[in-house]
Amino acid sequence: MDDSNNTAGLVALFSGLVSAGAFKFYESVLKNKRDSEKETQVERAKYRNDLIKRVEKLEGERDQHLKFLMDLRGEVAALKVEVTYLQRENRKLHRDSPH
Amino acid sequence: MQIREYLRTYRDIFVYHDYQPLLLFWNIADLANNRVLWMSYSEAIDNGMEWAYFQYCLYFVVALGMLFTLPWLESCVKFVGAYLLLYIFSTTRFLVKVATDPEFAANPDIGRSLVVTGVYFTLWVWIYTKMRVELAHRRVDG
Repeated sequence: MDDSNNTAGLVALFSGLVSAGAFKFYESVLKNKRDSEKETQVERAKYRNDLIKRVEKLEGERDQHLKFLMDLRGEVAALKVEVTYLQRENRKLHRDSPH
Repeated sequence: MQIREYLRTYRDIFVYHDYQPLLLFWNIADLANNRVLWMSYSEAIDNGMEWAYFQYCLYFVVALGMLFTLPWLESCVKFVGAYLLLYIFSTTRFLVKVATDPEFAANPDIGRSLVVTGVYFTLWVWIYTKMRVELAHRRVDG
């Protein structure tokens, strides 16, 4: 009877220690996994913030270029009108000049 | 395919379903079934069951602890762990007795007892594992 008690006590003690160790190990593995997930999330957030900044900058540049293009189109239109008038005047001068 | 689905539902029950209602009913049944409530210490001495009575007392205290700490996982898991250790202790004693005492091993009820003990052991390991895993997740996730 004493032998069975000792054996049972040892088995119970061993099981307790092994299970405590196993669950500690599981907890540490889980913690490492969560930490790496958090790191990845932080990196993703950084990348996203960087992308937002870059898009804002590019949109600002696009607006500037659009304004520049609009001004340029206005100037081109004015120059076209001027050229038309100049050509018309030139033709008139050619016609009226004595040879 | 249908049999596969059917078996998968059992696996899902095993993996995803909660243990608390089972633990609650088991505790109530275990406390009500405990010999400490139905037998005095002097009766146990008369029947040569001093050691068993002491063991039943331990089971009773641990089951009470489980019952009253059920809403607090961190405390309850300690009592479940203690219950499991007690269970391992008594089961190992039983197995050693089966292995060393041929007269005891010749009892026709031994096979049935071994099967029931195995099922109960699996049940307690399942409950304890689920609780520890839940506790680990709570600790890690804050």
